[in-house]
Amino acid sequence: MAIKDQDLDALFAAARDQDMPGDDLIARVLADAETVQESFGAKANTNTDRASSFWGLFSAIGGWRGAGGLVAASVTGLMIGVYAPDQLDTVLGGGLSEYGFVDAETYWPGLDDLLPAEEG
Amino acid sequence: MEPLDAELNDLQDDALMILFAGGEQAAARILTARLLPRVLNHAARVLGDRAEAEDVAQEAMLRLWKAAKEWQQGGAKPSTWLYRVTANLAIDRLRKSGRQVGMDENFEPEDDRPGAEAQMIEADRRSALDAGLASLPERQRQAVVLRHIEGLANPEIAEILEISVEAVESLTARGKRSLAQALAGQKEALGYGN
Repeated sequence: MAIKDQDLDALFAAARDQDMPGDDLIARVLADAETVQESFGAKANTNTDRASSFWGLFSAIGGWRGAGGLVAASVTGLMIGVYAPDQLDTVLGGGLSEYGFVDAETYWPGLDDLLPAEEG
Repeated sequence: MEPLDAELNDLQDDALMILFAGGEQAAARILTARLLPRVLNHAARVLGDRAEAEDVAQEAMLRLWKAAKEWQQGGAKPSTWLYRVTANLAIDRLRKSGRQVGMDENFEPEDDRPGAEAQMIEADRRSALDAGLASLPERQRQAVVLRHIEGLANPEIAEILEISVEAVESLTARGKRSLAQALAGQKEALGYGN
């Protein structure tokens, strides 16, 4: 004859919460949790660090205004490098030498010797 | 428990999962306190082996931690998700070990002295229950444990075992009947003679 329902229920009740985790298991589970959290943190920090490095540099040069000035200065420098000062003066219609801003021979003596001779 | 733990203790499990993913260590302590006893108990009843149950519970919790990063608040309940993982891990263990899924024919309550019924300790009853549970097919066993020992509602069991609610009802009813039959032989020894 099968066991009665109420006796079975008593067995179920006795089994409830009988297997409480010991300190050792809890410690292992929390150690796993910490390891996983660290792996999340390492990735997150890597991205954050990259982003903060960029914005730190951006801020150091004066934000958008500073970055704009830096770009303008770079382009100007490039033009000066591509065209010699006297040629730049030529590009600008001779305005610089007219007002005495550019005198290639005075400020950069011998520069003409390094540049290809102008034809004609 | 630290003050922060007490503040977080009112939060739902899914909110704690998100805090955990954000690096909140107190969330791990609270989730462990809430969920580890439940999955350990479930694994122990299904596997019938404390050491194996601890391994399964630890592995299930590890998977929960790893899942935290993608957890969506308001989505699946962490407890349901964890029970499902535990149930699958336990079944895998049973299958890999090739363990005989059937009643231990050698099972006898430990104390057979005259008058032992009156002195039967709870441990004997629990051993009898574990042996009886081991005689059930895997799914019946899990359904009975989740319903009658863990006290979960049928819809949640259905979600955990990924079957219909009707199938859960059928499994638990058949499981309970089979268990009652399996324990019939030990009825008097367990103190349920009359």
